[in-house]
Amino acid sequence: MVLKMIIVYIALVLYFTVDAIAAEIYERKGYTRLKGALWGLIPVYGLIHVLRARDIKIYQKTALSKFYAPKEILMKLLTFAELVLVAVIVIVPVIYMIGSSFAAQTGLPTTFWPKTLTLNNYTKLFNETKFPVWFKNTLTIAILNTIIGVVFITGAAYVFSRFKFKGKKIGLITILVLQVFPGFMGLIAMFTLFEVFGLLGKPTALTILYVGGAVPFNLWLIKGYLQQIPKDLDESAMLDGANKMQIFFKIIMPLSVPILSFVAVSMFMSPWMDYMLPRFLLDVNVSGGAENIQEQWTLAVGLFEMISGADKQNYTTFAAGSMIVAAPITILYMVFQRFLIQGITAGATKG
Amino acid sequence: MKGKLKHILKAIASGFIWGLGQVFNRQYLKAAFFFLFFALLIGIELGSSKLLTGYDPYQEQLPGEDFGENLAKSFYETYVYDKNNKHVAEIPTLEVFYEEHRADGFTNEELIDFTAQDILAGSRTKYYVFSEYIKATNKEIDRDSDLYPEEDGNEIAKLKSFNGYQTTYLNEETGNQYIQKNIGTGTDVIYRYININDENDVLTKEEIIGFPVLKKENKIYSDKLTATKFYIEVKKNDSIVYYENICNAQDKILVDDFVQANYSSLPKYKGSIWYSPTEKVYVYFNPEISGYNATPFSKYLTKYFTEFYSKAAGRFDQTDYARFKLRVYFSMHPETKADFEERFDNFYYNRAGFFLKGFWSVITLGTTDSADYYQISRLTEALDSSNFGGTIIENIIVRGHLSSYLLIKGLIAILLLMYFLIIYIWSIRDAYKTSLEYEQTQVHVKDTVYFKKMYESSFEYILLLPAIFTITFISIMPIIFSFLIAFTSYSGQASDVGLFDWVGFKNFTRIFVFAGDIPFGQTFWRVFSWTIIWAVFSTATVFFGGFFQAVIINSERVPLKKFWRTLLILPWAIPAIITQMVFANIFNENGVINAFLERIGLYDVFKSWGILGVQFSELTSNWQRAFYLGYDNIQWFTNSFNPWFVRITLIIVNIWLGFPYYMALMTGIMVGIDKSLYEAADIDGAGKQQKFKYITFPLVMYSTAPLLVMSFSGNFNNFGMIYFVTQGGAGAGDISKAYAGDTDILISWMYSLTVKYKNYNMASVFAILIFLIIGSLAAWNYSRTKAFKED
Repeated sequence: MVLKMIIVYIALVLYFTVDAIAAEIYERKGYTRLKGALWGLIPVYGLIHVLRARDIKIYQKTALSKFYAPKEILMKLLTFAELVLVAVIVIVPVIYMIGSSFAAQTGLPTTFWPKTLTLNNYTKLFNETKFPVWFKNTLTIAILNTIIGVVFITGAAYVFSRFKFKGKKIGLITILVLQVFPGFMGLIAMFTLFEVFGLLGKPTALTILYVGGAVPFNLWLIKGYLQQIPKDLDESAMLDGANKMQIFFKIIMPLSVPILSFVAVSMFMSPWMDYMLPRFLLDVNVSGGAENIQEQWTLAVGLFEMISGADKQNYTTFAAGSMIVAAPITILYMVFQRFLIQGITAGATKG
Repeated sequence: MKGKLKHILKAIASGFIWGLGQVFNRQYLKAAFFFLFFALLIGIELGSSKLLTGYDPYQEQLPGEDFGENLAKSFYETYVYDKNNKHVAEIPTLEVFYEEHRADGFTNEELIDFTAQDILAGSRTKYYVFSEYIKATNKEIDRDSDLYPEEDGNEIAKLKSFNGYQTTYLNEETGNQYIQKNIGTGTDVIYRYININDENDVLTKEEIIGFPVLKKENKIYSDKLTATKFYIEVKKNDSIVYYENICNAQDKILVDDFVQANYSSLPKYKGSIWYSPTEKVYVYFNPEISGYNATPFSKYLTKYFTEFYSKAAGRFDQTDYARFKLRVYFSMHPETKADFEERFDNFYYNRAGFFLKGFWSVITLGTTDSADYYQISRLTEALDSSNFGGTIIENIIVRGHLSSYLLIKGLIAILLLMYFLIIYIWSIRDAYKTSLEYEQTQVHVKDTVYFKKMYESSFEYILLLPAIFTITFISIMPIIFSFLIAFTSYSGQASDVGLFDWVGFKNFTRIFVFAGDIPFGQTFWRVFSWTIIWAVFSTATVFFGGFFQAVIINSERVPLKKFWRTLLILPWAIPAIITQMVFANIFNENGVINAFLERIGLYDVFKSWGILGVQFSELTSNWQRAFYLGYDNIQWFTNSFNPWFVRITLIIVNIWLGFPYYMALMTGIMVGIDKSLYEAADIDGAGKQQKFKYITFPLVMYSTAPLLVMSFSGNFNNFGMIYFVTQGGAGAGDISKAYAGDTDILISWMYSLTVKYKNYNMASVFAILIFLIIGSLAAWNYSRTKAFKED
């Protein structure tokens, strides 16, 4: 067993090393490196093709030998050894997750890929647990969150970025300070508040909290972005006779679509992954018995209950649920990675 | 000076009634504006108060409804009718009472008062002679032989009480019986055995050995003829041995001599048995203990209710009847009534308006606990409602003040008041300024112009207003609330539904107390130091891990960089909460990693080293103990003997989760570094290492170092990682460790304290401390950023 793994590993490392060498040779000959790398991916033929390719550029033959130097090859081997290892470590849990969602057993799967595959877990997810309800709840919250949040915060951010007014610095510091509080410090207060106004157990009421909690960070972000829009635009518009409202809607808003989309996306994402707030505020018996409590949950709460509840038989169903939730978000993140990382960093550093 | 006076007067006028000063300034629109808010404020206060509508504690606090306005009148009419038709015997006291009160109509209150009077009369506290009771047909009436506490104190003092349930130890030689008594204090239990006839005769446990045990189970018989002699059954080893005279333990009838036919068992009676030195047996009857007797009037009243109830077709039920009983009881015992009114007719709580009540709430946190009026169960017999249908209600619980609600509502009131205060000050200042302006320019600024100008100049405030208003109540109010909780005694189930008080800084001192039943002191420092270590190491490992990975991917040797980057960014792309839960599964004792390790044979290796498969207590060498892995399986996150093993595992798992973000970030930065820098370095003859050390590393660090601080704060509060992956680690929930597990950080501990163990005040204390630390860090970090200085 171990032997098998080691052989596969070494094979992969060699494979990639050869590919790197092929890419470099190809580049030397005058083609693009990328093409060389792609050719190199074809196991044996690739290398041969590359070696036999016509030279486009003139170069010294001896320059090629640099690539065959033992030290160089060793470094390549080590590099790819590390990369492949890390890649394996990264991928294995993911594969385990995907695999267990198709596993035929109910207990904790003990192999990385299940022996028997089945779609049962998915059907069980939709028929036996309250997954669709949770999904609907969370989706509602997310949509409400996005709309209300963007509308609210943009206006305020505009003011902070464009105007000097008394109390601006204080306001900024307050917002910074608010950001620091652990999100759930207001949990008890919120619980009592919700109880007083009869909002306990209503998922949509959580929107209030999410919007309130998102204000500091996103205000910051949008403000920073808006500050980069040159003030000359405002001034020339005012010369043309526009009042402040018009400037806001006709000039500022369209220009800030990128950052607004980022904020909208992140506000849409946040309720899916939040556990603490819904667990505390939605787990209250408002109507009916234990059955009905589950109707009020959001996804994060429901999923966690599956693996930490009294009966630990639901691992595979949990995996199926996680797949459904994680897949779209993961794809989204992968596609927009650059955009998202920039956004998060901007919020943190530029301030 | 006189000029100034005019302005000041106008300002004061606005101070009293908002907008009045503006009227004097002839700015009517503005006056209306301010006055609107004033009206709103007064309106809220009065509207939410009970000053206008009146407050009746009986209506508001007691459940059920009263039995209708004309109850008393129609009742009396029915009584008269029934009396005339001989359906019911005459009730003279009722008629006398009616005559006294008929002047302004016979009201429900008067009916209640009479009922109370009548029931009290029917059940006096007394000692009655048992034999007469047994022989009488009408058992409940007062007799001449009754002893009343007010009148016959001397005789009562001579009585001794009799306990029908006894276990005694018999000294067969002397015939003395000894009863067990605990003379220890608190948790120490010391038993002594006292002679029931002689208090000074005390024996110890050793001396009792061998004494047979006698049991009396309250089976008492009286002789059929006179009913003056009472014998109780005495059992030894579950079989009857003799019958003992309850007045005189020496008078025994052996079981064989006992003629059952001559004795009858006792009828139902209410109260406890006492006996005099002359062997006369009494029963002590106290209606407050045993319940009030039914009287002819009460029986008739109940009958009337049942018919009335059936006529009203089920509109009234047991709840309403219980309410009636309580009102009767209040009439019977005015001191209970006074207590009720004092508790539930609090001016500030029940009658004052929103703002006034808010201030009172924050200062006092409520004064009345819930009250349980179980006393109505004593009227169950007197006012028998069993024909009403449904279950008879034995007690009424009236909810008291809930400190948590009060605090929140109080805070809301105060915050709201602040907003009104702003407008108030605005109105005063405006009256003064406009008056001044008018004097100087002789121009009355038109209202519309004023508003337009205000709109333009305060555009920003107007736009901010909804956001500020919302944040005040959603973000600021909860924070203030949690902050204040740290200074109260809000903890446990009782406080959740009842009262708690201000305790000042006491909770903070508990951090430094290292003893007591819940060791917050010790645990706090342990958790705190682990939190810091965790934050530092998790941030550093992830940062440099990502950096390292970025460098490798970015090196010239690697083609297809995009492929590798996209692949390795996977852990970041998958939502963290899911991967955390999945890791909890993977590293489960019965999970896939352990199964895998077992399959490839590492288990055997570990077992041969002695760090797996044995009980911890059996290990001998220290080395084995330090690396102890588990018993059946490797306990990754539940190893209670090796907390550092768990913690290090956690940090390593965290690297998996965290490095992709930094990797991607730094790759982006590295790609953006100006290539000419490298070319210049090449010209200067720099080697690869030097290029890295002097160009790449500094540039990347400069751009991302600010993130380190933010990352530190984030990890300091990284709830998900700890809670989902380890649930706090071994020992979580253990009260001797103040509920904190091995891997708990401050925030996950706070969460458990709040949600599971309801220890709200301590959780708030920790929250405040976290805030102080992270807050100052963030403030310091922020103050260094360019943006702040520019602003």
